[in-house]
Amino acid sequence: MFKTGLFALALMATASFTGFASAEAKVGEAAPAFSLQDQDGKAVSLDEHKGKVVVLEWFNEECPFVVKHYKTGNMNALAAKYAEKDVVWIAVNSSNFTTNDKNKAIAEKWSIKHPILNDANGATGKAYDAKTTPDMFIINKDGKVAYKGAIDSIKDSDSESIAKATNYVAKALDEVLADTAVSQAETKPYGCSVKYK
Amino acid sequence: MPFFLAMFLAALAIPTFVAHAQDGKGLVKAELLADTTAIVPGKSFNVGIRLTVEPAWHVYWTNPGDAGLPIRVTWKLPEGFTASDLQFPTPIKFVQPGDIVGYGYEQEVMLIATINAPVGVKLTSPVVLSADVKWLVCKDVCIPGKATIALDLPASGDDAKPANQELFKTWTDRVPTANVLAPLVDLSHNAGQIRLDWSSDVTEVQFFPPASDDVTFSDIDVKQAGRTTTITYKAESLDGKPASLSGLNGVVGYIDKDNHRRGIVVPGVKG
Repeated sequence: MFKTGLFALALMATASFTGFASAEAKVGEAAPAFSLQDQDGKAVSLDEHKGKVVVLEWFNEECPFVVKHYKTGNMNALAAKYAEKDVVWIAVNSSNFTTNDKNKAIAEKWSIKHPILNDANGATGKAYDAKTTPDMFIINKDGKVAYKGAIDSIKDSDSESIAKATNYVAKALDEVLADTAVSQAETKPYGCSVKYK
Repeated sequence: MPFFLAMFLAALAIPTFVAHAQDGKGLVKAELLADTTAIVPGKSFNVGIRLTVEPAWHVYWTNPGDAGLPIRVTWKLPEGFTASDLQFPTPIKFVQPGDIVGYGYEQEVMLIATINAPVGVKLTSPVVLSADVKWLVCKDVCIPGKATIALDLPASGDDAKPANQELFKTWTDRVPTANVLAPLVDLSHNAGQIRLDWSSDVTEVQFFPPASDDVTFSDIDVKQAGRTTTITYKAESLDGKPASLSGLNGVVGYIDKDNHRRGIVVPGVKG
């Protein structure tokens, strides 16, 4: 009753490796351009950081997975550590309810030094196909996506999980900065759904 | 500046932390139930982890979809007791703004496991079964919750009686079955296409791809023509990882002719 032909299986395996066309940001391809306002109302574009490694972090202060990485100081520590290596860290807030003022207030409350961009209409989030917070992207010096996916390996909102997890973003950043191939260029993101309008 | 305007602006500047100030436990009630009134040494019985969810909120299936986290259970059982894998009933699909797809449950769900009691259970003292349950409950926001739930059952030689029968029947019937002969005339699964020929009329047929860290399922499409359903999907491996659908069983959910939500297990095609 299971008519699973070998030929069909071979086809399926091939399809899995060749990938499918879609609009999302893909590893090895040019990262979608954007220009959005930060918490101070200043325009921040991907273009102005050409030649630098850029990390994009999808952000929503109400999401427990985002809260986990800020309340423990993990996200700020990562951003600070890699800022020393000239990596630009940018948070993008695609929540329908976001405003510059809310982003400014949360940046002060959580001592966030990096920009939090206002993408309330969701255009940039959709261009990257960001689905969860915190979805993470690393863009290399050539403006291509070098990593996309989860921040780390343990899908949990508990703070204790951070120390036990492998931080995929740190690992990929180290590899990008060392000009070596990224060993794990894509992982499945986890978190809250991005609250698109 | 007029006072009321100043107040209004001040209110705007206060960040709203409603989400994590709320307690995920208040939105979900967790209980541990058994299908027996007593434990018989050497016999197995079923336990259910029942979650009652606040209306309009949802909790997640083993594959939560694009976001979310599955319900997680850690058993704390007395020595010698073992628990089977948890059985998750057929979920429902919810689509959130931005085409973010989730799989899970609204209102109520019961996860079922079979517990094996050791032969040497003392018949004098009650047995305490316990589980740590964690969930993420979402509506417009997501709130994690957890609870430790317990159940005291007497250990008994022979006076065990069935308990919670209706509840266990309801949720056992909703667990996807690997015995596809009853609802189906035929099932085929080839190269991203599943074809199901039903033996009676069904509605709301949906495909729930399995949880996987390595394979991404996308472009899921379900077409219904009379008693034939054709499901197509794309399965892609993540960068740098070999893809294999071996052991990745999907679920096809449907509403049967008696208006019950049911599911069948669709074995993954081996890579």
